[in-house]
Amino acid sequence: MGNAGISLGQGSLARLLPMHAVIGADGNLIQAGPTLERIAPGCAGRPFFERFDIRRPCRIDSIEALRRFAPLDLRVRLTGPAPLDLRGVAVLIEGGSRALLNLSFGVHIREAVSKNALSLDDFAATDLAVEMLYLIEAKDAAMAENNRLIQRLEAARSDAEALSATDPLTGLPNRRALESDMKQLVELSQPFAVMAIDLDFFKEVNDTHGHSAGDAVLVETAGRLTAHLDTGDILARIGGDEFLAIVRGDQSEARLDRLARAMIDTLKRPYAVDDIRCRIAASIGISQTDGGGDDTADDLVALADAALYDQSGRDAAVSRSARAPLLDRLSLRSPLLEKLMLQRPSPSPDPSLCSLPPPSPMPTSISWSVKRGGVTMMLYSSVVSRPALKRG
Amino acid sequence: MHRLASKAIERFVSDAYGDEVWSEIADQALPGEGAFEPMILDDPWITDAILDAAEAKLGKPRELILEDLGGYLVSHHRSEPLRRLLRFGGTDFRGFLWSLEDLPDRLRLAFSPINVPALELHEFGGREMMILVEARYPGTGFVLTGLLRGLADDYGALATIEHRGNFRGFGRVTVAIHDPKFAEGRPFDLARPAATS
Repeated sequence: MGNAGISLGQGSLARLLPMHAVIGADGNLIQAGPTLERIAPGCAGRPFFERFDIRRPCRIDSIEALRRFAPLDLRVRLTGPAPLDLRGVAVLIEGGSRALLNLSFGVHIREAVSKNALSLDDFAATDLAVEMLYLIEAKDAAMAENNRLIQRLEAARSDAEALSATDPLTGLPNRRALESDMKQLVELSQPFAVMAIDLDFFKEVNDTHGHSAGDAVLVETAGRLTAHLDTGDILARIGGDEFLAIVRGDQSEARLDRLARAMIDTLKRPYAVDDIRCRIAASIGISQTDGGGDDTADDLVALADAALYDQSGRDAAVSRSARAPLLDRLSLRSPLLEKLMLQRPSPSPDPSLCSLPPPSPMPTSISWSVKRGGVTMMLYSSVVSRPALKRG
Repeated sequence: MHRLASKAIERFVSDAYGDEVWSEIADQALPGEGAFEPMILDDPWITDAILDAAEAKLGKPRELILEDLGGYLVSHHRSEPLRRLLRFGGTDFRGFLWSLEDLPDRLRLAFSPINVPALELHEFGGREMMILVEARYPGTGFVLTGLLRGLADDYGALATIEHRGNFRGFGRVTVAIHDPKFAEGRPFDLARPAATS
């Protein structure tokens, strides 16, 4: 078996193994394949270990050492101006006096091809290197096309989101959907009430427990509020911690009052988010139309907001100047409102205009309301003692 | 494959005739669809509808449009990746033709779900060869004709390439190479130039 060898001419060897190297007994590289010559010009005839550094399986830096370990698989570094890591196999030939190495680029194929301007002809037809390059290019082309597709889809998604009617977090209608529903009610001269609901201390929940806790509180808030509404009513989330409810029908003031208080009470109940317990509170402003007035949907929201913001300081003595811009805006639409806004809920309120609930233990809520003509305006607020946040 | 075909037509029409022309064709082919996404919509009838609209808009029979599309796919800078993948087939035009039969498998290797029409190359000893291409879609042979003409130019070969009609579900394209080194051709470096993506 040992003497069933074959002999190969240099040309045949070059064709079969364009990256081979034959190392002579003196350690010189006596024959290099054409592709090896390309990536390491001038290497033939020079000491092999001058340009090639055998690093694995162990450091081999002489022909004697190579002879001792061959045959073996190698990791070789081509040193010099354009270093390159190569894979290789070394066997002994000619009775063990010389070594034959065949090298390949392995995973560094792309780098090697571009550094050395290699062409299809530099690879043996049996070498899968070209298929590898083909796959790399195909993969890059497919990924580039995919990325363009993703960008187009992302643009389409954000367009769709802008056109959508739903708040993605709570699943409630958003401001856009609510406005269109309200316009429809106004056009049909339907009676309804608008409740502007603003969460208090929500920012503290976000700041203390993080946004995911805040999100969970919003989702639960949506559920708690919905439970107090009838099927035909609409609850929408119109901003970060702002909700708006449309209560349909000609509701009595007493019913709206009860509803607002019930909502405030339900939102004051502690929230359990994972192992955190937190509390928030809420303020509610209400406006109402019997369907007969000529208030637009925007007017009704502005009135409910006015009711809400008027108490946002939760301080009965809001200064007149702070309220002036609001009055300017509102007085254009509703002289009644201006009158109302100037009526302060005071220690001795005019019983015909305002009513304050009897003092009760904290936390509690305050409210006052006026009804004249087609619009009723009511203001509610829960009053809670700080700190509102407790770790449970 | 249909979505690739639709996408290719979109690119071709936009680059050769302008975005306006393309949006008119897309509106005509898919009225009321709003944004048209050929990479997602994948129905054979969409490709057909696009071609119907393109024939009307460009005033050309679809055979010519499809041949032009084939040429575009290997000559326009926006489809450089495809030209490069095809040039991996061989160092000269004849070598490339020999690699054609591997093309479906090569493409499947790279993009596994892709369904590329089968190709057969027949040589008759003379200068002329015939390529049979599976034509489940009757226009396939015309795209191949345009593509081969483009590649002959790319390799710098002087060749006549003709579509000889469909027969029993195969498109027949004949290729006669008169001079494989007629012109310099376009350069092809195995290493992709960094700027191309």
